[in-house]
Amino acid sequence: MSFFGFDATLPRDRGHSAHAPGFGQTPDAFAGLGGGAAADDDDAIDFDDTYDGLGDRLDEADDAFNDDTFGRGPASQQSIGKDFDFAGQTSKISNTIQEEQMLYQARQAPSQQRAQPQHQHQHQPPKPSKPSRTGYESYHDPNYIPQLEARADIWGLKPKQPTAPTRPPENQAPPPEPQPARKIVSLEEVEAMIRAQTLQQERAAMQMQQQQQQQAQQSQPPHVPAYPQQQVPHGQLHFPGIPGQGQFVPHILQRPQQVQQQAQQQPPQQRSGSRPQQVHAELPAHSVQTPPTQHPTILQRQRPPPNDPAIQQQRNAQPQSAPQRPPSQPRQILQNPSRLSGQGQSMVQPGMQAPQGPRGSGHNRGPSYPGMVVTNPEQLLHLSKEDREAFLAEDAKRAKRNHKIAQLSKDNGLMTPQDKNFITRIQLQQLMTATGNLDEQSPETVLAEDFYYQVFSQIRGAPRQTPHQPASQFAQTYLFQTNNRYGAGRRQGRGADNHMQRMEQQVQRAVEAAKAKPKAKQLTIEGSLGKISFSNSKTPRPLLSMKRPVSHDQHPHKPKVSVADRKETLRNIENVYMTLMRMEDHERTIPGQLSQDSSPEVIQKHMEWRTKIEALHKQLWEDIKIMEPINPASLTPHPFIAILSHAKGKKAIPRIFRHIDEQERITILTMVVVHLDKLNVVSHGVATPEQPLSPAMRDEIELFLHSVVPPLYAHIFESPLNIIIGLLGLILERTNVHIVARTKVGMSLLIMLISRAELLKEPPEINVVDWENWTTLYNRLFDSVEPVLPAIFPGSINDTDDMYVWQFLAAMGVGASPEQQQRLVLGVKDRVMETVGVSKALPPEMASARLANVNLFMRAIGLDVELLG
Amino acid sequence: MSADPKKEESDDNAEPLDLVRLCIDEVVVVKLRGDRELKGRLYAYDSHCNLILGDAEETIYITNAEEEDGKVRTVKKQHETLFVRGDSVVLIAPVESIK
Repeated sequence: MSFFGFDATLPRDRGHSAHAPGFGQTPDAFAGLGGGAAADDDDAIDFDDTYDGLGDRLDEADDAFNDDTFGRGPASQQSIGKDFDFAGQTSKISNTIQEEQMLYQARQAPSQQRAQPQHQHQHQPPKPSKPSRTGYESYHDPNYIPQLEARADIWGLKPKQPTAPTRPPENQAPPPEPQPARKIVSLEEVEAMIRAQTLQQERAAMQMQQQQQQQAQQSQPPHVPAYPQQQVPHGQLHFPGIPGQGQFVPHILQRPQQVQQQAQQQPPQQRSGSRPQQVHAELPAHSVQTPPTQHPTILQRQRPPPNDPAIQQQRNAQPQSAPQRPPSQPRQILQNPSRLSGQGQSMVQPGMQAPQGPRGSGHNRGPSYPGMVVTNPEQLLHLSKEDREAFLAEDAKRAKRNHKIAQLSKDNGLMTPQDKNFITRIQLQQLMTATGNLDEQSPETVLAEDFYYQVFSQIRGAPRQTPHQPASQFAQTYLFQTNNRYGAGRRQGRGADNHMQRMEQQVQRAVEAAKAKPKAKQLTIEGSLGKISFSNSKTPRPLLSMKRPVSHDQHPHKPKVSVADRKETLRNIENVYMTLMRMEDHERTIPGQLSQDSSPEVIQKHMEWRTKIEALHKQLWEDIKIMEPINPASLTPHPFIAILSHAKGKKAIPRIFRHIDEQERITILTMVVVHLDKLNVVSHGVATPEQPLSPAMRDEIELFLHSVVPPLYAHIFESPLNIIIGLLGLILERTNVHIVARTKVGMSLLIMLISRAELLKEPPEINVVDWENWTTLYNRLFDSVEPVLPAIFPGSINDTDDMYVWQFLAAMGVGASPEQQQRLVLGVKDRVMETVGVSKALPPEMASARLANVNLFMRAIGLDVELLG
Repeated sequence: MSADPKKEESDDNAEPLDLVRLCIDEVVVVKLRGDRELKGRLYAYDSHCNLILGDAEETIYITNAEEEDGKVRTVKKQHETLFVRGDSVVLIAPVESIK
């Protein structure tokens, strides 16, 4: 029905004056809408006809009424404006209310949120349709010249004399010009026409008209361009010969979709003559009834488009200016707030021109617009040359500008306010769920929403939204995980670096400590490096003895794990992970901190939580099979060791360590140490220059060093000497030291144990008995390792990955007696000399790195690479 | 071993895909429709047998139908990460543990 109301806008003048002076504003707004929308041309023509007749008849009476009503025009509008303001205020309130609703919804459980949006959508359907209509309108806008005229009339009249808008136009506009004006409509055509006119047609024209036009153009250049392009189609339509298009347009603009239907239906009505009156009647009704209700809806954007224009007009347009601009602006304002001024001007122009041309035929006629072009040539003739040139220049300039503006604004209005609102709402909703009200959402909800983002953001150290302890723990878990994963992928993962650095530091500290003690015999050793070559007689022995272990190793560990065992191991690993995940998940649900004044319920919850975590803990301990009896005779490895033979088993260790207590960690450490040579990373990790490790094995070893060793190291680093002694004793007793000492993993463990023991030497309260035990063990270790010293380097001299070997030698050297140091030097002397030699050929950076490694060892025994020249 | 009872337990409510679960993070061979095979580390799978493989080597067997000499050509491709849609998966098998 609102459409009809819009129709009424066409005869605005009458409507304003006769029916509802107070509502003058609303009709204007509708008219503006109508101007924006494009309707079928035929229909428009019909309307024009009807309008013309009505306009003529009504003008006189209307004018009188208008004076009364519109004499106060501004004032009355203001008063009306207040009414509308009330609506506006309510709408504002409704807006805030809606925001509140949104907030409330956002705070609700996600399910509720989703449900509500749906409801909204159900309500919204009408909106989308309306927006689409508006969109069409905008498309058609360019074509609606007639509307422009109508608007212009109102505009021009009202500012000057709100009471009698129709008359002035009629007087000014000559009847004959309407058709030419239509042709001129498009920008390009206008330009062409101007040129043609300037060149060919220099006949007499109305100077007065020209001046008026020029003034109009100058004052309001922007709006001309938009219309010209649109006018082309009109021109075609006009030729059929129906002048009434302009008036009809308003309908179309307001309701593009419905417009067509109406247009089809309406033409007949208009022709009959009853149409216009009906329109008028409808308009007032709409204005009265719809505005109040529509305003809130527009604000909320749930209502249909027709309402929007009115609302926006009320909102955007100031009460005083509203009467002038409303017709065209409402739509434009909605779509392109920035365009308001420009379009408003454009509206004015048509109005100015309209009076000149079209008035004669019909007062709303498009002819007024064409009038500019057609009339120009004639007018030009009358003008002086200078004036003509000035006018032409101005005209060209204006056309150019118009063209530019048209181009810039060609996509304007594609999105309706409803579209924009819709998108804004989506964005707001996302904001709400992303950031809003985390306190009211349980961690589970957040996690369920976007698990990976939560973990990622926490790992990345993003500002923690939930300061709950569980969350950070949770993140820590995955922090660990990622580090491990990276470690597996990259050779030098972060974890590895830390680990290696700490180990290095420890070795260095041990070296420093050793240095602090004066060693009397160092001098002889110092010089002996070169001389030691004399005692080459000793070297053959280690060479012989090193063969043995190699051949021994390969056989016992070769037997393949049967498929059944393998499957069993995999299953164990899966169980471990299941339990781990349950524990970690359970950890996040830890109830709030217990305090003395905690309520019984909280305490109860805590008890339940603790009970469960302990059960899970027990479960985990069983899952890792660590307590399975050790059967040395068994061909199959211990289940726990088997777990460690899988990459995922290794990765689980850091996570397991987080959940177990001190005693259990010692148990794991012991288990690893006891089976050191049965770990696949050790048993298969012996490399020789001729037979380097496979890439897969290297990865396995790296993974082990990055995931399993750090927790072990952390534990060893805090262990007292007796535990170190016990562990080293186990290695010597239970494992093949030759193999252990030739692998990276084994060597790392040995480094840890030895360097830890060296550091424990420092405190004065050292237990003499323990220390004697340690010395005994160390000597045994030294004797076992010495034969393989020449073979402890995994690769050729060009293999740069030998730092850990030098660290091991350094650790050994620190604790060694002078005699042992000499043997140590003997064992690796060749390698030392080779490395020094090679480093000379290397670029400075690499050379210094390698020499630094060697120096690690040399300094431990009181030497320096520098001494080797 | 003592794990047997547990094993039976897990077998009770076992699904076929539970076996695939054991291959997570292990190297598997995947046979696909269209004469293709994949070998790579299994990162993830789902109930449709959609798979994520890492460091996967794809082998395509091509027989020349015209000549019919029975010769099979193979084309190999290396993929760092691969998503395999489940509807093309014919078979998933674990590869013996890496040496």
